[in-house]
Amino acid sequence: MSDFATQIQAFTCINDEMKQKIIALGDKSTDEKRAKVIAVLTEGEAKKKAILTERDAKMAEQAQASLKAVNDFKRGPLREGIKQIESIDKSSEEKSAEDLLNQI
Amino acid sequence: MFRAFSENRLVFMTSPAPEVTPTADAPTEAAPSEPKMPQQLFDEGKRNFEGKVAGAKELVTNLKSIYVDEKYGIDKDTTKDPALTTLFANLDTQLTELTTKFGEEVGKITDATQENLTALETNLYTNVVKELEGEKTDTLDTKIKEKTATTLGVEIKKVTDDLTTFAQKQEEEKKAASESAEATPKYEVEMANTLLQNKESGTYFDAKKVLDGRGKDFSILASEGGYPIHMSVKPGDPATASAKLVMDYTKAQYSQEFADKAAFKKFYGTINEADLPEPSKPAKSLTDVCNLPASKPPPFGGVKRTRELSVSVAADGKVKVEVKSIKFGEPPTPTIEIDLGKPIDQIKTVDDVLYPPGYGKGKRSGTETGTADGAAVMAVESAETQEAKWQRYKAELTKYETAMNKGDFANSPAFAELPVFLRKTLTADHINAKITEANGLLTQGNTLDAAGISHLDTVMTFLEKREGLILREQNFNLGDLPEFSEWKSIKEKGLQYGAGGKDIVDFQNHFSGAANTLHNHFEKKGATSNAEAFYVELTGAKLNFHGEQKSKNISGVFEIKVKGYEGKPIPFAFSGINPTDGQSWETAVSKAMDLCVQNDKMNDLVKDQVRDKEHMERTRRVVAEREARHEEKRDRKAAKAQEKGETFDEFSIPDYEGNSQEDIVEQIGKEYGKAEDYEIKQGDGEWVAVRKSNLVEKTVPARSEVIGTNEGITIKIEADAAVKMKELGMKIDGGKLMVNGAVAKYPETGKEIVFKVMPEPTTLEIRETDGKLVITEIFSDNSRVNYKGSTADALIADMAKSRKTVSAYQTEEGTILEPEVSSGPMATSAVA
Repeated sequence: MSDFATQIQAFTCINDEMKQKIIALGDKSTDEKRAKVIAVLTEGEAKKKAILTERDAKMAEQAQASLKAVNDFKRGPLREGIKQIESIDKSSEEKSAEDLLNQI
Repeated sequence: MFRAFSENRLVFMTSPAPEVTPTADAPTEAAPSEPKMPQQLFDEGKRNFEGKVAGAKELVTNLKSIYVDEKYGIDKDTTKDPALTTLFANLDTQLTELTTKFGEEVGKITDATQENLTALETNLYTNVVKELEGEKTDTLDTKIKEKTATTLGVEIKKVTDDLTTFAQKQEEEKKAASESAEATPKYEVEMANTLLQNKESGTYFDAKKVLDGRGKDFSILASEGGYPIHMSVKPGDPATASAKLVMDYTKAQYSQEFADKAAFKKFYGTINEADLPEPSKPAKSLTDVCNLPASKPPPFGGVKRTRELSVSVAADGKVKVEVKSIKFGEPPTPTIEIDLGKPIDQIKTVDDVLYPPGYGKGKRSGTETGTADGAAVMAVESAETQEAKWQRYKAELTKYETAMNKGDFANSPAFAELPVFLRKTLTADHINAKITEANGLLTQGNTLDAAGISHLDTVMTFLEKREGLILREQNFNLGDLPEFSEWKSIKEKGLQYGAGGKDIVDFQNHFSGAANTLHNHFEKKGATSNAEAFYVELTGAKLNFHGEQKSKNISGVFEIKVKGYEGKPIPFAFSGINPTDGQSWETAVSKAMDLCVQNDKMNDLVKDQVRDKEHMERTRRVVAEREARHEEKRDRKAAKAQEKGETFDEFSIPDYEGNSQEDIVEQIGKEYGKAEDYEIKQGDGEWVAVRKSNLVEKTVPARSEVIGTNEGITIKIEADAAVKMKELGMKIDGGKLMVNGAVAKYPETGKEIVFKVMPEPTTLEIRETDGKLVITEIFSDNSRVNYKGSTADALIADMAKSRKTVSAYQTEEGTILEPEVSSGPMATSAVA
């Protein structure tokens, strides 16, 4: 029995309150049913992992997309802005747009 | 306008396919490197992104210090300061937006993940508890039976059989008792007798008394008028046809009081708790619409019922409901007719009017679909409460589960004739998943919100429609399944995706093999995003399915287009394509797509589209740069003119010039622009055009009317106003509400005022200071104007006075502020 409780405690796919209730119910149950519960939760653990993996992949994709957006901003609006300054301030020709952009 | 239009040739292909030459520009694969974990990629990406944004922000700040603030005297020219101020502010805003968007997107992913995890947790818990609790009861029952059998000295089977017989006898006895005890309450008898004496003119009866007589608690408060429904008998046409019992609800108004929101929800499951007014606040008008359960006898079964309510919540949490009207059907009418089953001259007894066919006496069966009550009761009750519906669902689910647990659910060979996307909802796995889902929702019971209830109804309807299959009913006809009736229609009419058909994304879901063939063929290697990598999209498809079993073949058309290309898609027609595996429709569709992407003409036409799209983008960039220069020039001249106290005509520096309006429209079109984006007018002889968004807003005399009866009322942003703001596209930024419109509410009267400022994209920032509502309008050049006032009048007057492009008028919803601009899009009511 304590084995069952230990096994249940190890799962992360259900919350603590649920774990307590399951352990209490399992107390009055058979080994066969308890094994079935462990199997269900083991599968649940795998599903949780899949959900988290999917989240991580999406987050990584989002980070890449944002990085691209900031790069586009650098190459687009920021470059244009700097060019505009250059056209105004002819004396600062040595500070070309590329030089400035390369710093960031 | 688009040269490629003339080149949109229809490419036609029949099977078998010709030999296909691989495309010349085969990509080279990058050398494999150590794979990184997604979490690591995210962290790195985030760090990089934040670093770059911070770097860019710093650069912008430094440039502003040099060129605007003239710090250290590196630059001393102040003539360009206003233009540069705007430039730097715009750049800074764009960078802030990048950060905000990143945060929002990450937030969305996190929220969706949390939702999935919670659903998983609930499902797991429900399944596990069911497993363990079922065990407990089973074990106990078995032990009791065993012990009884041992004591009696008989087999356990005998005890089980005896128990079954006992249960049957008990049921029969109960039925007989209920039938004999079926006595119509006194009030109903009185009511029926009055009706029999005044059949056609009819009589009013108090529905509350009917409910009381049946011991049904509808939380209806006693009031002088009761809950009056008019009842009369209408002769059939001809008079020998069945007469009708007409129930007229025109005067059926009554009030109900519920101890709390949970009790309210049992009756009004279609109304969200969030929609209820706050305690002690004015009553709110709400509409309760539902379809009555199909199990009710006609005409109530399945009919749409609409109830107009006025709901308020007292300080102690009691919910008071005023039912203003009850209507049935579409369009909703306050009368409903029940067939009495015999001509009017044969309507003679109390039972004739109280228990028409399908109702009543002697029919009490104790089941959830029983029709124990008479017509009058049904007319009053007329909907099962949420509670009763859930009981019914529970019973149905138990039945389905028992059937599915037999484990002999076998796919009919006929299923193999369906495409996979239709067939997959008929698998044991899918049906079991739906049962689990419904059970999970039912477990949440009264805590379910309206969306949850509606979802539960959807899942249950799905199962109910497949009941014959689930229960393996003998007389069940496969053709009755929604999947088969849809397939029948598809075979007759074909399957269309895109305009006029199913959503194009469904093609990806239904025929993923074919969709992947398209994407993978036109994939740009080394792209950083999917949007960039897969640059050709399917915009439409028509599939016709012919034959069956081993003689299947398909015909149809695919339409593909380069993403962002604004011309017509390229059609590819095919016919006589057989499944490559000899049986599945999916392989035939994949094969057709393969022929499409391998076709040389198709590839040439795609290349043309890529070229045209690039040309369009280049041209638009050039136009944008040119117009930006024009705008700058205009600003400069306008500023100079202002200094001298002169007026400046913006059209003196036009974006386009021409001999006629048509000439200008043509020029704009040639440069891939839209004529409606420009203001076109005749100047001194010549026609000129300026992009509307670059024109300085015109000022028109302010017009302010209405309002005025609300002196002394402070406007506050209420919680539900904030909800409405969200609907208007509100953005919460640093604790301030950023909106394109706003709603404020008068707490005492419940009246709302709606602010909507045009033309877009003006932003309103709304905050509360010392009990006063302050609205700041932020213009596209980042300049700001504040409006404030402690009354609606004051606020609107202030806004109208300063802005001069807004006026106010009253609508049913409240006061709406709108610009008085005669041309261009007018603001629509923000609460419509």
